[in-house]
Amino acid sequence: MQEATFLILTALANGSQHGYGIITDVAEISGGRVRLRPGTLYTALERLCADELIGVDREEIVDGRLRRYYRLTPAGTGRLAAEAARLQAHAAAALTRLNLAGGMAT
Amino acid sequence: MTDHADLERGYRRLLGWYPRAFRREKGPEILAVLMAGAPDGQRRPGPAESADLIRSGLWMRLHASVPRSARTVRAAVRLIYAGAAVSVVQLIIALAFAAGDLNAYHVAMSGHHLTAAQLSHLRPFLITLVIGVPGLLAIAVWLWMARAVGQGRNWARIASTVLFGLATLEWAGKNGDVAQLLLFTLAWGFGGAAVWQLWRPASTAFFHPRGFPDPEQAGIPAMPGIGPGGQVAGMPQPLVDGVSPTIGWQFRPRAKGSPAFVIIRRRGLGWLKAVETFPATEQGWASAWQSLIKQDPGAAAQVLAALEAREVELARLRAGWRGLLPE
Repeated sequence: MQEATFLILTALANGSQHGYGIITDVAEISGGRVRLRPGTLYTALERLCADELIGVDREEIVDGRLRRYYRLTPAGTGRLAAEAARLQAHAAAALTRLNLAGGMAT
Repeated sequence: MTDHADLERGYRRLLGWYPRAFRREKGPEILAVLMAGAPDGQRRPGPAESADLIRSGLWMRLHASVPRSARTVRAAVRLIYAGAAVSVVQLIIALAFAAGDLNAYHVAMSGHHLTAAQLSHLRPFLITLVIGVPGLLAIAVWLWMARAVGQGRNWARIASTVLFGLATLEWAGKNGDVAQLLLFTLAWGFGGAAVWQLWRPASTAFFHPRGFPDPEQAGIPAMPGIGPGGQVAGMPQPLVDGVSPTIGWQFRPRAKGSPAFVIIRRRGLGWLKAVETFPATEQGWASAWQSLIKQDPGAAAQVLAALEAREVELARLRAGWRGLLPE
């Protein structure tokens, strides 16, 4: 799973968000390192919708603009949980070997 | 405010790189994200964001995104991509041989009735024309079929089958070197497997011809909710983009009856113009719809179909989430 995909799913993990909300949330989660551009975001959203990992939650009109909110599907929740566990295991292994984690696996 | 309008026009032009159906569905939404992310005083799209939108638009044009639930069609699209990959290899090998080996070159040109002088003189040109162009065409046809099939076009399913039939005839009468014959057989195999997937019963539902509903019979869709804070004066906002005329809304603080539902027509360069204005009430919404249907029943049907597709998608997802709730 690409980092951008992982961060988008993470942004949706505790509730639905609209496109611009996802961009600001991903920037916050990544400490300002990942700034999604709208084209990149919508390419990813399109693929995630086709893979049925996310779906459209609702639409709103705010300040004269259309907002569409996305949220995780059950399959998306499962994929994100599996990927997070995998990354955590890898990170724990790396830290253990670097002797930074003091032998704590988690 | 003029900065705003200039910028919005620039973004609209860039959204033209996306396929029409995608723009119709997601155009207003992406525009909102672009405008929300633009710093104050920005007058035109920056080079990096332009490149990003163009790349994304082209990707959408080339790529077929088939929902995961349509498993067999997804498999067919992957097989077609595999066939296209084989065609790329075939083309590279054929070009390399014809360019490097004089004998292979003469074999490739046999049957074209050319004199020896023409053959040696026009070699680069002939290689391009006789090998390069048909090879690229073949790759283009594979990619085209992948996309059209992925969009659920029934004609593409039929066309793929006919193309496979033609390839079978060519295969039966093919003689040549072993490598090319092997590659041809491989591509033919991918094509055959794709056609088989396309005609499995599970695929057929995906290809049901999707006619547009008749707006006069289907009635008027529910009025969209327009939230408070809609005080931004500006361009008309289509509810469904990429169709003209279409329906939308516009905020004009100084005009009477603001905000308002409007009938929007597309002018040159993606400039949208509100041609008719209705009050933002149930009655106004109904009148706007009647006017749209009268002006262009086809466009009204497309707008209606796009709105209904959103409703169906929403209902499907709501049903899907019930399993998530704790027992």
